[in-house]
Amino acid sequence: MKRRKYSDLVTSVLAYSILFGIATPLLALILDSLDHTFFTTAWLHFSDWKLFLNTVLFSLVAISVSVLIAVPSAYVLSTFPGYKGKLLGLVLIAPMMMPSYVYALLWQQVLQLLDLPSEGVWIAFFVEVLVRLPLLLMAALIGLASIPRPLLEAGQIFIHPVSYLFRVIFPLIRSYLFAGLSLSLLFSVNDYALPSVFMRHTYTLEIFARYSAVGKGGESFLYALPLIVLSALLVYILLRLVPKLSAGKQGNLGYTVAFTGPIGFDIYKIFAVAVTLLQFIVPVAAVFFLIIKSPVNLFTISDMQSLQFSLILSFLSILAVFPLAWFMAEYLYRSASSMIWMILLFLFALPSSMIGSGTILFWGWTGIDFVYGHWPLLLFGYIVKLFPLFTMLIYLSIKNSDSTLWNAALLYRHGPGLWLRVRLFLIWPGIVIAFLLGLSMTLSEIVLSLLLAPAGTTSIGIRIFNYLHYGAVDQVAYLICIVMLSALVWGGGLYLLLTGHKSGREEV
Amino acid sequence: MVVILFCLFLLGCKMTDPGKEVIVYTSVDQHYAEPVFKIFEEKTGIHVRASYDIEASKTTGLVNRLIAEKKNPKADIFWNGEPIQTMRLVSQGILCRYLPRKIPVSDWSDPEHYWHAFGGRIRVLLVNNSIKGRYPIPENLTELVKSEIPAKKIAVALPFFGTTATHAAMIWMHSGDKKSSELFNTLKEHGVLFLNGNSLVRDKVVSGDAWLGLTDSDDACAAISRGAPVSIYVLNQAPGDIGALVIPNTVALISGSPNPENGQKLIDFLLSRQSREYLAKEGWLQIIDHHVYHKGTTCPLPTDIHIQNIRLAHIMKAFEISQHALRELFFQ
Repeated sequence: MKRRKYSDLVTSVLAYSILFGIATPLLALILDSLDHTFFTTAWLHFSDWKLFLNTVLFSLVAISVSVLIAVPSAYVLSTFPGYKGKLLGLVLIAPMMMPSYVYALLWQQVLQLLDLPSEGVWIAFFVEVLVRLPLLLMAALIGLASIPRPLLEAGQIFIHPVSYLFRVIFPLIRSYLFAGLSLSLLFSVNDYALPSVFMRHTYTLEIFARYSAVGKGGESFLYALPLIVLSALLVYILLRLVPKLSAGKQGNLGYTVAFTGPIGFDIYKIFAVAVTLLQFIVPVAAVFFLIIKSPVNLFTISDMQSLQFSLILSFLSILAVFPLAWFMAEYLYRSASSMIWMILLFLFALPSSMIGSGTILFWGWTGIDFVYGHWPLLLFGYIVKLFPLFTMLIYLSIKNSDSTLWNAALLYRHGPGLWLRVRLFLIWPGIVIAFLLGLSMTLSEIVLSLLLAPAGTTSIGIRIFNYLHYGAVDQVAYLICIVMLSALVWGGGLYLLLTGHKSGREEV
Repeated sequence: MVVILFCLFLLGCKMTDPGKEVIVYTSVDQHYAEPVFKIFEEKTGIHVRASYDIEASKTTGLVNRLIAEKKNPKADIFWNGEPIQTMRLVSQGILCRYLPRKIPVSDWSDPEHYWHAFGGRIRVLLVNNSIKGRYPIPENLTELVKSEIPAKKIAVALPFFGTTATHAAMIWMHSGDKKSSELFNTLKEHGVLFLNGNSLVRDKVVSGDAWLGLTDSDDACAAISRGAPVSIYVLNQAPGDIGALVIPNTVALISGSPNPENGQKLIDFLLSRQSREYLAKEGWLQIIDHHVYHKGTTCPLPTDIHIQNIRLAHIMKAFEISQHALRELFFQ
């Protein structure tokens, strides 16, 4: 008993140490912000609140439209027999790996080619709907896979097809949709690069502009607080839905039954599928077209150095954050500490510019020269950025995994081997998703690289962004292609590695 | 474990002797700045480690980095393609005074020696040759607003960053808040194309999507040297007009930097005739010592340009007012 208490104490101390170590940029910002009187004046400015509400409302409406497209598309995909539907679904969610501003720019290029308007609120809305579609499609596909087939078939017997979609399908997968909606809204309100392509002003852009104008991390942190609070709330909602995501996990891994309805309904389904195909075909085709029509030797030595630097740093940051996040996720699964969740939520919602300035502030105070001004500073910045996301995804995976298998394994074996040879493979979905998202985030990250990369290095994200603004779209296409291929190769390799061992879940 | 160690080795293997290096943050395009740094390295044996900004932020990213690093600076010097952000650093206490002993400094430089101006680019109109003879070319921005050229065929960079922001600040300084706001409001209402940078303006005019664009002379000259069907017109050259706006480069020493002596050497080098002439021949600078530099260049700028008398010391206040007004005007 004493031994267990001692062990629990050590685990708690370690968990809080990791958390506070990673949260040091946030602490530095809070301390820095105590100097300012901005707090008393910021909240009185009406236009700031108006911009904040506009930003949130815009994203909410765009994502709601995406949901209305994603669900029927997911249903149609799930009617394909065998692995065709899954493969097609996987392909259609691939644009998730593309940075949102590159996606937006490719669409802008196509619109300009067709002599259509390529700026303004409505175009921004259109592209926002498309860019959030892959994540929602993935949520809907996973949701549909979790519904027992007999339940789906039964729902069709007595109900009109339109009602079947909105009164049976939607409610059954609503938890997954809400999870997808929360994540999409989180990414959308914090995205400033995509709106800037279409000249749309957002609260996040304003934070960046104010930071640029003021240059004080603490003051900008205070200004960013409404966004941070909203983001934290969204993540909290996402986590609250986890028990419901586990329900109905009997698993319907076969195909679902196709349903048809009145002509209007069929047109709606066809339209949804067409939009889903369009969000994939247009930008990917634009990438290949730009590559093909460009001269050879597009990839310069400088690009090679940037890619090497970015890939290595992404790889190292993911490797570094993974054990920390896994440890934290296991600790949260056992002890459910509200304080830790609160700090994690705030860290998750912190904009990159704040992480960067907080990191510089903190490491500047320490005066540790090996880190400050060198690549470990950027590595630390990436770890801070990735840690909350990794922790949450692994936590969700743990909650979703089969606890009876784990308990059975605990009876016969103990020690590190158990964790690496059993637990790791039980929670593989969260690891693979975290890895892919982490790779995508670090490779497309601009602000952190700008603020923290050591002199003499340029990350691939910055190169891509600069090429965009120099109008070298073909160079961008080439680099994006390589980035996406790298991510898919690594992600696919990890997937094969982890699913080469049985996860222990029987397919129904 | 082997892979991790290999990655660490790859990341660490570029370390140089700290005493033999200088760290520079610069907003100047990498393909102009890098060769200059290489010449400096060959001449002095001092290794240059440079950080470049992203095009979209137009210096702001690196300026914010300098401000964040204020208590423990990493950079030795800051080389900027325009003066406003450099002036911002003075007010933040980031820069320190340095007066080169053997190099004459420009009269555009800071009188208190916190930063030095050298060379410059001019704000010009780039015109697609297809409209020559069809429309009169405006001689200044007021004529641009009243021009017969369709507004959708006129391109201007957004006036929030870089040289266009400096140009806007100059307009505010000369014409006052009301007239300047009216000018930009009219441009916007007429439907003039506002783009994300001077290079995009150049590309639009070269492709013919726009017929006329307001941009920098380096972008304009680059287009002409590549054989594009465009011509350059310098603004404000009519008798009695204020003269062409020159945007000088600025360079400054960072206060408390790790290698101040090497930083001073690099500043001396950048201010030297050799460096300025090199940058002019490469097309980054068009003005040296208040005159158009033609030797070894192909840029068809007129030799006898009337240059505006710049009062850079007063520009910061005008910049703040102009930025506030323009943000209210432009963002929806």
